Amino acid sequence: MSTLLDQFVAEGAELLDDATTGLLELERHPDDTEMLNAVFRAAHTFKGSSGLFEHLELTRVVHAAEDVLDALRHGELVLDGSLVDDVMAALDLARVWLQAIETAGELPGDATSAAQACIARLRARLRDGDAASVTEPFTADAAERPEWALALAAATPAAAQAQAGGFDVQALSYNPPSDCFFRGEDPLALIGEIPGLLQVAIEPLAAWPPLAAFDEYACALRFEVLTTAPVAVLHDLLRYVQDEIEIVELPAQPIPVATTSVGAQMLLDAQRDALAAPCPPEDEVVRLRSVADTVLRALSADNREPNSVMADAAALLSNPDRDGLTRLLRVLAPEHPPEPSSAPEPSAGPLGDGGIPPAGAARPTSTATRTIKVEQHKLDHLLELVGELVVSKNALPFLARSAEQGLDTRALARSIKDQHVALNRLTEELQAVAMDMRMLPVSVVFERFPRLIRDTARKLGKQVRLETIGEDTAADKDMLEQLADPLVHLVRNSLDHGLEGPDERQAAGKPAEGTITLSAVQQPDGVVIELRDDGRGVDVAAVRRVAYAKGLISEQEAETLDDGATHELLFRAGFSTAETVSDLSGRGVGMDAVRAAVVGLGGSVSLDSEAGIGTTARLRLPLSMAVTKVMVVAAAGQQFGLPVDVVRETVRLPRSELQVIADQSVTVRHGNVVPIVDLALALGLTPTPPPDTGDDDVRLLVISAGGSDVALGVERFEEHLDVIVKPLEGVVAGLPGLAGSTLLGDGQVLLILDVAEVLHHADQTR
Amino acid sequence: MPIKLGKQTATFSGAIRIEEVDGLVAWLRETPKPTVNLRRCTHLHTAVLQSLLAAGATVSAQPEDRFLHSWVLPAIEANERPATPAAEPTPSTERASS
Repeated sequence: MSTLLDQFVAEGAELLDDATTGLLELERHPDDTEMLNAVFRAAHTFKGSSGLFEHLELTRVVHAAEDVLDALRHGELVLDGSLVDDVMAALDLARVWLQAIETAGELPGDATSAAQACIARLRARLRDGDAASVTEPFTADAAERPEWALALAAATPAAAQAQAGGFDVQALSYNPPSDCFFRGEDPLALIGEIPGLLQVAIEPLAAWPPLAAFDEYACALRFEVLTTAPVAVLHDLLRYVQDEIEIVELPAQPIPVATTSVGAQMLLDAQRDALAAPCPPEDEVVRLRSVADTVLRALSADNREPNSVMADAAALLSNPDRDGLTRLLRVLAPEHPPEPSSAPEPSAGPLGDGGIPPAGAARPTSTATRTIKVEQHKLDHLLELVGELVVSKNALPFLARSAEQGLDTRALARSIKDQHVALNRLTEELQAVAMDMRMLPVSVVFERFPRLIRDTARKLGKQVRLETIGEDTAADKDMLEQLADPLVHLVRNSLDHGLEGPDERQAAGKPAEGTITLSAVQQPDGVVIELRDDGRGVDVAAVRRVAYAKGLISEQEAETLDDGATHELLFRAGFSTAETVSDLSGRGVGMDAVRAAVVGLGGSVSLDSEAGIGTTARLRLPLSMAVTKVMVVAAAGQQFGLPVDVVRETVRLPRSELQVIADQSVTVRHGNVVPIVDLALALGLTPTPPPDTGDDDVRLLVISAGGSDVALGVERFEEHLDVIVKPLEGVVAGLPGLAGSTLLGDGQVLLILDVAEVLHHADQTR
Repeated sequence: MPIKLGKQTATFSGAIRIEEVDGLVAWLRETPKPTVNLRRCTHLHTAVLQSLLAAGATVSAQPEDRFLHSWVLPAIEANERPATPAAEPTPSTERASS
């Protein structure tokens, strides 16, 4: 792909996003002319840049949207929900195409029809708004061919002949603006390029003024043209003057062929098929001649009046031409079932739903941000650090030389340590800069929600307002990208189950309009994202009932569970099924998926709810996924890494202090009984017997898993490390209990454990 | 020179571009009954054409170029008597031409 196109794709996506965001804003504040202008400008710029490439439909769709926006600006149209729907549908279409251009290099196959449907809707708005001021840069519907086109065709005998001869005739009206010469346009030259001209009418716009007052640089002519050139060719030729032209299709009129006898018809059909069959080029002329000959005989054998068709066939016989013959046969022997060839769609289509994907579906599924904007000073800093790194590297040969020269080992060791310190500082800084560059504001995730909420709320007949707080909070790019889906899920839940309809809200004494608040707060160890709604809250009694019915909790638990623990139930895998949803007016749809996704990012999610007041989902995320702090422990003689965040405390106890309750070793921490699980056993390994040093202490890692604490028995605590966890690949991918691996400084592989999974596994095997 | 300006007749040859229109209009303004020889002309810029139309110029020699002959010449000939604009009004000529 060319750089220019790359740039267009990146910028175009931004412009479309700007326009969409602006439109949503406008819907709430229809009087905000500045916003309207901004949206218009975004569309206008997009249209302008798209014109550089050969994707006509893209330009035209956005152009149509731009026209509607322009009409809004001039007060010719009134902004309402359905208008916003239509304009956004156009923007969505453009967005989808932009992706197609990026991935496939071209528009999808259905682009033309989708464009026509979309444009027809937008144009229909303009027509409704102010019929007189509308120019038609796009093909008009057959049902409403303007009079000028019909008059022009009627005045041109050649047009009728062409139509009768199986040609589709196009009427074109071209009104160049008066300043077109200054843009380097020469309308007459453009018309000269149109193939298949049947008529060119050149008319002055007004009576010619006296020559003294005549401005030769202001175009004072308009043109009307009849041609057999296909519409696509016309659009292509006149692509730079799309605004100034109107094309009306006057389709070919099939000649009645009823008088053709059955025998002749069969002959003609056979000729048509013969012509369509592939044939080596050297035989082409011979075959054409034979086809033309047969056609002529078939016609004369039928005793038809000598007519223009026969004359055509005779002319073709002397100078066979493939296209001409094909056309002739198309008229004489139409394909079955016979149909008036390529008549334009009736006008019912474009106004319906056909062709335009529903607004929600049109959003590209992959929203990965491929380009990232980095502030200049960060790049400069990066370059500086790289410079220092190079200097630092140059010190190494110097050290090597010192070693060769037999420098005192102690002095050598000190030099090496010095270098290490310098390198250490550099790598740490480099890491920090690199991490920093990956940081994006959470607004990249939040900005999809106004649209989502608007569309969903409209569908559900609810009134919902979205408030966002702390959009500038930065978080790791990968994390934000993966956060999008869980958040969408949560927002949908809120809209679907949390927020009540306007009537119910008013009955409950709340404002008819519900509020969803998305907030992000930076915390020292990460980011907390909250989604709050002021809906009806979770019906805890119903949740308990359903959980009991599903066998997730015992009868006793059903009676004693507090609200917090009840909310936890919603995240259980077994909880969300279709029937639950219908039973339960609250939440619980796929919340386990949300939790899995967030935990996969190294975060946690919790739910808070108060009946009648609302629900808050809280997502706690680590600062960055890229670097994880792990604690290294030994079990069964091997080293394992555990993410530090899950470790609550490390304890070393004399073995004698452990207690056994019901075959389960436990210890008491902070007044709670904590079960002990031996890590080696949990992993299915054989624990190494404790060494004979008289050290009979047990070492426990207390970790919190699923709301309760568990102590993991390990053989040794080792160091803390900052590591970059690589996912497991190949045959070991998907091994349960392992989150990934990393390389240690000495080249060993350290396996990083997924503690929750390990415990879950141990639970099942026990 | 694409345009040779005579006393009564301007002779066009080749493609006449917009750069010529200045000189042509000046000549048209001071020539009472201008005629043009289009025999060798291959293209007329729209600005040149409308100047000829506005001046009501007469064609003294028809163009050999097919496009000019078929479509442009009739427009000039239909206009030879000046001040008969919109002689054949098409319905709805008053569409906006912004």
